[in-house]
Amino acid sequence: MMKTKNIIYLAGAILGIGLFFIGAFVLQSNEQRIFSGLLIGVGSGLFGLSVSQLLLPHLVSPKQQRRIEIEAQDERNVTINNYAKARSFDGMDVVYVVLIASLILMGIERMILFMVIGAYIIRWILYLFYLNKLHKEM
Amino acid sequence: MRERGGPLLRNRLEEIRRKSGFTQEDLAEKLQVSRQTISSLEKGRYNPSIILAFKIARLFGRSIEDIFIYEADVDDEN
Repeated sequence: MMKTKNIIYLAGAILGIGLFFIGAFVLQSNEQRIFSGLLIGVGSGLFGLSVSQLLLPHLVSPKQQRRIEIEAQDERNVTINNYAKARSFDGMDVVYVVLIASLILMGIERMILFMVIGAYIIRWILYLFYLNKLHKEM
Repeated sequence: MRERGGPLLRNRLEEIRRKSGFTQEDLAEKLQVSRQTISSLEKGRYNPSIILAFKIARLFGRSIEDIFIYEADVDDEN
C-alpha cells in the first residue's frame, strides 16, 4: 500500500517536472504564453505536493507519523471537515448568484456569462449525483 | 459537536476514564482518535459514532448504556 502510494507520488513528481519544462522551455511562442504559464503553475504545484508527500515519512518520527494519520482519520475531524465543506457549499450559492447578477449588470460578454452559469449548473449536477449515489449506498 | 437541535447524549466517560487511571492521551491512543475528540466527548460537545461508542464500551468492559446516557431515557425515567 505504502509502496503503491510512493510510486504514485514519484510519478506525480516526474510529471510535475515534465509539465514545468514543457511550459518553461517548449511553449515559447506568444500564442502559447497563457498555456505555458498554466503548465508551469500546475507542474510546480504537482512537483511540490508529490515531493512533500514522499519526504514526509522520512522527516517525522514514526510516532509523529502515526499521530498525523490518526488526526486525518479521526471521526470528529472528518465530521467537522464535512460540515465545513457543506457550509461553504451553501455559502457559494450566494456568491454565485451575486457574481452572475453582477456580470449581467456589467454587460459582460455572453460566452463568459454562460461559462459561469455552466459552472453553477455543474455544481448542482454534482450535488444531485452524490445525493443519489449516497442514498443508494446508505 | 452536536447536530443542531439533535438529541443530547450525556456520558460518564470522564468519570470512568479517571477510575481506570487513563489520561485523555492514553485513551485517545487506545481508541486511535485524537485527544481533542476525547475532550469533546467528555464535555458532551460531540456525539460519538456508534462504532466509537462500541470501542469505548469494550475498552472499559461495560455496556454502551453504562457510559452514554440518552437524555430522553432520563426524561422517560422521571
